[in-house]
Amino acid sequence: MLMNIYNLEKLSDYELGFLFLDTSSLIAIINYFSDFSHILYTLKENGRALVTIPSVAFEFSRTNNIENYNTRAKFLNDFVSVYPIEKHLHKFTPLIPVLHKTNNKLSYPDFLLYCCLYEFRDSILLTENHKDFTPTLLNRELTLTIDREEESQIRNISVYAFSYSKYNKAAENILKG
Amino acid sequence: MSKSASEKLKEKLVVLSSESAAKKTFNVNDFESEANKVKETFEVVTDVDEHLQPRKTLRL
Repeated sequence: MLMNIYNLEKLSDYELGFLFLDTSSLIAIINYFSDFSHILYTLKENGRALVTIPSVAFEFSRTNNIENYNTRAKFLNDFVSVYPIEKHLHKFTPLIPVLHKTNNKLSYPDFLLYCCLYEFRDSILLTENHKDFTPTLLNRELTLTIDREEESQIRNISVYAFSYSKYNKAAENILKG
Repeated sequence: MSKSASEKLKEKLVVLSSESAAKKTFNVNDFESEANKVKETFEVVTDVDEHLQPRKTLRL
């Protein structure tokens, strides 16, 4: 089987801060762990912690028996921190109407991931969900392309960071009415 | 008094921790080994949720 992940090495350039993972990127990492593991190790060495949120942990651990649930929960416990962003929702009051305006079909877990990027200035998100994570309020900084010969489609996983200038511009537009 | 089913279930489950990200250790060999175990668990999942489209592509 021929497979290439383009730009993967560039991921290790990110230093310090949180690397947030959504369900799609967690699954991609599991699927291509032999390619991702060394890069993730480098990122950890650089001081970039792997983090997710409880609702993503819920989605990721969804399975049909206790044994499989425990395997996935143990994986999260061993390698990924689960940050309870919901405890700090009061900080994101202005972000809510902006997201309603710019991404009106956003799911609640994806909203919470936006909150994480907003809250932690040096944080980035790795995701394959380009429908809900868009360059409207975020900057798409890097795209990893997974090209597997046996799959008909090419998959893109991107690194996103929050853009405060885009956010401020969107907030100003809302204030103008 | 006998334990409820919920209590018995709780004893069998790994509890998700919200440990500080900075404290987590990361051994690349352990990561590969554990990721492989998780990958095996996805192969038996039958209820594909449209919301989690990437799960479809996880199947090998």
